[in-house]
Amino acid sequence: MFLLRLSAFFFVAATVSCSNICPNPTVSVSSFTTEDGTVVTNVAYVSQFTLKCSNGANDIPLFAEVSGISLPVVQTGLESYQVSWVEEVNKARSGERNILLYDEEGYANLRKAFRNAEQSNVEPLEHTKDHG
Amino acid sequence: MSFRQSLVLALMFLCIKFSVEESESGARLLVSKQILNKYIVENMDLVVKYTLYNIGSSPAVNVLLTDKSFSPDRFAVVGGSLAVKIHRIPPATNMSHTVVLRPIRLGFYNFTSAEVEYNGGTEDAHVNVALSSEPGEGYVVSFRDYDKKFSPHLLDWAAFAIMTLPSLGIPFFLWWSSKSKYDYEPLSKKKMQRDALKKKDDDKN
Repeated sequence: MFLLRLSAFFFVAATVSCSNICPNPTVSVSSFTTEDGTVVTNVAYVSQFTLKCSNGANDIPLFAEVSGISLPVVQTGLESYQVSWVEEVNKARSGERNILLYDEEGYANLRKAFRNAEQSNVEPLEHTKDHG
Repeated sequence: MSFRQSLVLALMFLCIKFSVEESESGARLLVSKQILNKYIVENMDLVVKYTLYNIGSSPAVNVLLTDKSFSPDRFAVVGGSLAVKIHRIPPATNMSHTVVLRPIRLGFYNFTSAEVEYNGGTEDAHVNVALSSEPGEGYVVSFRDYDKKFSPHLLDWAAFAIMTLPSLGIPFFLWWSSKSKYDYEPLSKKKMQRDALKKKDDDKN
């Protein structure tokens, strides 16, 4: 029996503030990963987090980037968000995953850098890590 | 054809053209709900993936995705949320959302559609309602049945080994004891040396 054990722990690695929308962001993250690869066809990675800004801003549109792939950030509450993606069981690997969070302005700059094939030097709003 | 008839036809054509353009100009979401499981097993992960695609020409805003099809007495949410808000889905863009649940009870379950509410654009205050695809009926297998079929049966094999040990071990022990009792012991070099020394001492005496 093939058992795929992927326990994920997300934690805040660095807090980089570069935004006027959300200055001094603090993120508390809880994560979930499918543990058993026998019953599922795709391994799900789910990261739920709350984002608190020093100016009390909430309901902020966010964007995420994991291993160079942009992912949608959905909102589950006023200050709570979720990033989730799936990977095929035979391609899924355990290890560290960096989740970069951007606000609208940062994401637009990042896309622009990608379009122009430039080295991206856009600072993320938040930088979290996932140990699979 | 009279002038009046041709005018009516032209007006009709214009009306149709405008209505077609209007329907194409707004945001239109296609929503799929997939269950990414080979087997649905009691107390094991059930991965549900929602994919939203905007086929319209303007972005869908304030998209609310809610799935009330999983009753709390049959399923427990372990990862993700079943009610989420997406700020904006641009035209020709995919958006996905994943939730992990665990079935509490076994038996047949009809997986029905999720509901999506969205605005067709910044100027459009009209709320559109869309339904996702339905994965259909599935059967939640009991963990016992699943385990019978797929577990490595380590405990069973250990019990089997312990049970077969006396029937194999006792004859082996009997054979070994008889072998060591009657078997010819080949002389080792050390023993030969020892015997030679002993003989020398005896001769001296």
